[in-house]
Amino acid sequence: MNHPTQKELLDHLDGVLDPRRAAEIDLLLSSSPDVRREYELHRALRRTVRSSVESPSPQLADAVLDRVLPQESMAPWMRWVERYSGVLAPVAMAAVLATVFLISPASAPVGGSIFSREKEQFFSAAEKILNHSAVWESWTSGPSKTIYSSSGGNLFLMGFAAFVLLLAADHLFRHRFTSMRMK
Amino acid sequence: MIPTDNDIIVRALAGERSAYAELLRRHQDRAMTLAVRMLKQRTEAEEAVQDAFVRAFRALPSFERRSSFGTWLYRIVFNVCASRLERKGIEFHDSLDEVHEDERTLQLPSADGTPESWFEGEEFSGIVRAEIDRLEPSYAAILTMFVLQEMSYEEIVETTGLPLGTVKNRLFRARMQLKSAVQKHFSPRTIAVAP
Repeated sequence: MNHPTQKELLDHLDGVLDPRRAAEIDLLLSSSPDVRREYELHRALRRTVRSSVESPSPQLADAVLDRVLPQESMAPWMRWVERYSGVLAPVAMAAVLATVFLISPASAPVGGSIFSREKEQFFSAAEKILNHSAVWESWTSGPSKTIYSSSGGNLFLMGFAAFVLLLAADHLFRHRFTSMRMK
Repeated sequence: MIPTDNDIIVRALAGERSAYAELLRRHQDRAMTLAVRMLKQRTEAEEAVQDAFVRAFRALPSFERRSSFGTWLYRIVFNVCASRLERKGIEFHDSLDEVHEDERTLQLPSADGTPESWFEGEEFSGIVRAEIDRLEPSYAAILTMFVLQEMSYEEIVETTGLPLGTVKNRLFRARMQLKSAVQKHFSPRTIAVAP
């Protein structure tokens, strides 16, 4: 029985050797420590090459997607929101529901909501200030005067709160996203 | 059930951003490994991989699925890296590919050689990784495609544009060079001697 060549050992390792020759080499592997050691070295080299994987930096995905997709013009905080929309959507929904509950007059135990007093003060002050303006005079003389009525006030307050929240989120996420990319 | 690459490609072509991200996540490590093996520098390899993914995603509508997405992508990575090498004056496609017959013969180590258990250790792995980095780019690329990416000879031919005989020869030489280089780290008595 001939000693195997290096090529035969490698073909055997790769599973592409002729079955009859492979059987002969199997016999040699069990009887010859030198052949077995050589074979095991090849096998260890293959295993190590296979396990020597290089990973790119975490920023690669964003860099590639930014270059190929139309959303590349999105602000960083919008991408962040998009990426975590699965988590943010339920939280936002809960926040909206909670806001509606707190502001709604129906949620207060005895007339008006828990914010109704502050709300009245806010709109009263706003009215006093703006009443000096001719623009305000003309504006409030029309149908839109109901802007500070009960339901209109709720909507205005909710919209204002949402705007402030968006500004805060913009600032927070932009800063955080930029910090992540700089790492 | 895990979606196939083709399932994800359909979603990507429909404009789903997360599908692109999923494709990228699946293949980025292997693409990066091929680029590092060829270019030998992580920073440049990462630039090449980024370029390759951008080209691949832009060309995705023309991907005909005659080969797997992976093979198609690695061909792009390979071409990007080969172009970079050629700009540096490193020619990928011509090189002597003769295999001397004595390289095919078994080189027996001495009987009191390094124990097989050493092949399992961290020291061995570290030596092999260092020696992979020293392989000529074309050898390292073909070795990576065959061993890590489990590409067939035909797929490597398709990817590299090299003839089948050249691919086989370079793969064999890559493995023998790696083995010889690693064996030099064994004790002097165990270095293989050609019969």
